[in-house]
Formats: sequence, C-alpha cells, structure tokens
Amino acid sequence: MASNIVTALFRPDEFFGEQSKEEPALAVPLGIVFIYGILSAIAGYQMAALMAPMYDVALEGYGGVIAIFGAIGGFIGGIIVWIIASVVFYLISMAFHGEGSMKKVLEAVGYGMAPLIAALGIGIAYLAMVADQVVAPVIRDIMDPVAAEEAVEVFMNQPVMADFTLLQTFLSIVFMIWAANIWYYGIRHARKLTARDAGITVIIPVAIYLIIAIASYGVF
Amino acid sequence: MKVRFILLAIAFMLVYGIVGSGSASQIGVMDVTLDPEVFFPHDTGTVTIVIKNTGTDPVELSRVNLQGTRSISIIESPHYTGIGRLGSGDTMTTSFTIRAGSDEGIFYPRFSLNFVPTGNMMFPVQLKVDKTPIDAGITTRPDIFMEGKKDTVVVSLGNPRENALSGVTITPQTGIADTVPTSIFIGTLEPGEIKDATFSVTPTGTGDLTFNVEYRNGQNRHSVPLTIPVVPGTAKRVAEPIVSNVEVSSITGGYRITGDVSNAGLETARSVVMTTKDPAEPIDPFRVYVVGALDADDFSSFEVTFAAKDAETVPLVTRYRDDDGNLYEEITHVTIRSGLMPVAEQDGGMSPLVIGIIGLSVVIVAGALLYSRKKR
Repeated sequence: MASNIVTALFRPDEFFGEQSKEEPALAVPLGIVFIYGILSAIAGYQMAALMAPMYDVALEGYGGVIAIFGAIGGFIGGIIVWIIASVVFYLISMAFHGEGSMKKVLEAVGYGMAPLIAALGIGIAYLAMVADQVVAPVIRDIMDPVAAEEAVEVFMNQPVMADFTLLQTFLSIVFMIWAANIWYYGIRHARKLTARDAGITVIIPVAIYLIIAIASYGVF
Repeated sequence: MKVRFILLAIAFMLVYGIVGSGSASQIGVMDVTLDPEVFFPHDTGTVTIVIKNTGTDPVELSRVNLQGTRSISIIESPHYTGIGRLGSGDTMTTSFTIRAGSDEGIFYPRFSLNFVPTGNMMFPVQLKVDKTPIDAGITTRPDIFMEGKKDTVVVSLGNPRENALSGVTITPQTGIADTVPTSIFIGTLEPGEIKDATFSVTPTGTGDLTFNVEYRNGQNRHSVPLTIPVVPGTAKRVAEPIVSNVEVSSITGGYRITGDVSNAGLETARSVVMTTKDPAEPIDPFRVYVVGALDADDFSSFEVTFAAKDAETVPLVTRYRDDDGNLYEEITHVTIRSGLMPVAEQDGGMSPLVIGIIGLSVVIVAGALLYSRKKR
C-alpha cells in the first residue's frame, strides 16, 4: 500500500497506467481520504478551540462544543472535497467523452489527495507550535455583526495568525499543484483521455480553486 | 555760756556721728535676687534685696532706696521711708520694680540705706541686659510637601542665654495645613539646654506654615516666629506602582485581567490592592486582589475578575498606602472591547520558520513534479 502511494506521488503516469488495467480498488484512496478527513478535523478543532474564547462571553462555556463542531465540520469537509472533486472531474471529462467509471475517478482523486495530507499536517504542527501566542479578542455582543467581524479581523491580523494564514495559503497552493499533477495522470488513465483533455479537465477546477485561494488571501 | 553751748553741740554731733557710722558697719546686704536673672532690653523685672542687722544694737533706718542708671529705670519703688528700727539679728527684704532700657550691657543701679540720725550705706546691684533670643530652628522637614500626605516637621529649641527661660510653647499657625499636635509645651529651658518638638503636618493647600515659639523671661513674654513655605508638589521619594503585562480574557459572565504590578518608586507601597471600578463591576472569585506590601523594585502578579456591559475600557484600580497610612489610588485603563483589543499588528516581516517551510515545500513539490514528468 505504501509503495502504491509513493508510486502515485512520484510516478503517477506509470502508477495510473498500471491501475487502469485493473478493477477500481477504493481501499487505499479511502484510507488517504480518511486520514485527510481526520487531519481536517484536527485543524478544524484547533482553529475552533483558538477562537472559542471570542464567543465565550455570549455563549458561556460552549467553547468545547464549538471546537467539537469544528472537528466534525473539518472531517465532513475532507470527505466532501474528495466527492466534489471527483464529481467535477467526472462531469468535465464527460465533455471530452471520457469512458472510465466514477469509481475509477474516485480512486484517482483519492490518490491525488495524498499531498494535501502533507499540507494539512504541516499546518497543524505549525499552529500547535504557536498556539500559545494567539490572543483571542472577546466579542461581548454576539448579536453585533460589526463587533464580531472586527474581532475576527483582529484575530486573523495578529502576527502569529497572519503568518499561519500565509503559510496555509502557500501550502495549499503548492501541494494543490502536486495534487493536480497526480489528478492529471489519474483522470487521463481513469477516463481514457488525451493529454490535452485531461489537462483541461483538471486545470479548470484547480485553477478556480487557486484563484479563490489567492484572492481570499487578499492578493487581488 | 555761748562757748559752753557750742562745745555741747559739738560733743552731741560727735556722739551721734559715731553712732551713725556704727549703724552702717553692722547692716549687711545678705542677698540680692533679680527676676529675671538676665534682662532682655525693655524687660520689666524686680530686684529684691535682703538686709540684716548683724550688730548687737538696734539700728534705726530712715530711708531705703534704689537709684536707676541711664539704662535702668526704677518704675516702682515702695515708700521705704521712716521704716523704724531694725533689731539686732533682724532681716528686712526690700523689693523694687525696674525696667531695662534698649541698651545691652552690665549696669549697676545703686541701693542705699539712710540711718537715723545720720549715716548711710550704698550697695551697687549688678544687672545684665542681653538681647540674645532663644535659638529656634527647623531641623527636620520633607524636601517637598505633598497635599494630603502627612509629613514630620521637627522644631529644635536651644537656650544660649545665661538664665533659664520658662513657659516655652510652640504653636503652629497656618490655614493651609493640619498640624498635630496643635501646640507643644516645652516648659523651662535651662541655659545651654536643647529640646525638640515634633509636629505632623498634612498640607491642604499652598501657603506659609509658621511655628510661633513663645517663652517668658521672668514675667516678660517673647516670641520667635519660624516660617516655612508649604508648596505641595511631587515628592521625590514615593512608591510608584506600575501595572504591566496586562492580559484580558473572558470567563463565564465576565472578564479576567491578569498582570504584574511593579513598584518603580523609592518607597515601599503598603497594602496594595487591585480591583476594578465603574463601569466594571467586580465579580467573584477575584473581586479584589490583595497584593500586600510591595518594596521598591519588587513586583507581584495579580488577577481580578469583573463584569462589564457596554464598555470598551475599564479602569483597573491600584490602591496603596504609604508608611503614614495615606491612601493613594492609581488608575490604568484596560481595553476589553474586541475591536480595540491591543493585538499587535503585523509588522510586515515574515517569520523565518514560515519562509523555511514554504521554501522547503516548493522544492519538494517542484522535485516531485519534475521527477514525475521525467521520460523513462
């Protein structure tokens, strides 16, 4: 299994060429997505735990609940990313008369999410390291959207969180490019597409994601 | 007949002349008392002279008198005329009221006795007039008075005169300070003696503080005013609690402020208490945090809890006392509203760790991509 993942990461053309001759097997991709989901849950919990004191006055002791919801949201989000990406690739590749099954696409997209685990892992480790430097401003009136927005803005603009946001954005972009590279070969073999069609299939949603990611960081 | 009469008269005169000169020799001045012993210029006092008949025969006195000098006036002289006989071994006390002039020096009023039928006796009375006053000075006072702060002022009195001064009293006179005690009675100050009087002074305004030193020399009252200006200012040696390392966090139903209070002054801050005041409302568990005594250059952590509604800042109160128990209050405004939290802005510099992670990630991903696209 480990050798499968390593091959998928570094020699995706060769790996998915071999995989295309076999029946789709979702065990490993599911494992990757599960790990991704767990890490997303941890990241969600981390961020919710850091921001919980902001709402403590209004929600009196519900910090733990907020953090748990953050974790659940993170896990589900991880799974949803896998499914949505697979559906999007499947639908776009339909325009190029792709032939492979949805299961094959899910398998390819699952393998392709392996680099994103690294991005999440690094982000979690970094945030854990600097968590004690994070100051959570208090939102006294939760019903005041301006105050809440100001508090979140102040929270995100403090140096340690600004560094974390920058790191997170860079990592998600860099590792998404790696993931896109894997998806490119994966979709190409799974849906039996030409190099151009596979490139277009992958590049459109990935490019949209990258633009959104960079835009949300405030570059545009 | 005429010649006999003349001879009889001469004999009579001789007899009584002998008797007269005999009277003078057996009358002695036994004691001279001056009150006061040494006069100030213009002082009024008494001279009391005791005479005694030390002979065996009675002596008849016709007049007792004290004659003043240029600087000594006799202002009250009893009519010591026709006094009568002073029996053998008897004493007689005579007293005169005198007043010193404006000159200093040693003077000699003349005491005289006239006898019956003839003869007299004179006795110079030594009398000193010295204008040296009591020596009064302020030996202890604060460099700078502080309004409402009790300070100590010590008045020192010395007697450089040759005689004792009585009824010495020091009375502070001012409308700009509370002084305790309101008066100090020293009593008698012997020659060369020094005595101190300690007052607690709490200024309430700006002005002069006069310590009026009053004393008596005999029956004469004298006074020396000692004035010091009272200008309340900022004392050099005070406690100076400074609040730092303040952190605000939320707790159930309110906020918690933690931080350090340091004494950056030169005196010990006593009974240091930390709390909050309106618009904040202190709540349990730390409505008030008692730090206690804080020596100079010492510090202590504190923690206060409070509730606050519709407030962006709350006053953090530091109360402390000085060694005299005077209460002081320092207020530090602490921001609690989210939008105004003193969170440091990004200074533009990226953390080297972040740069390192990003660089390493780019290299790894680029390597992976190049490797994956390598022709085999």
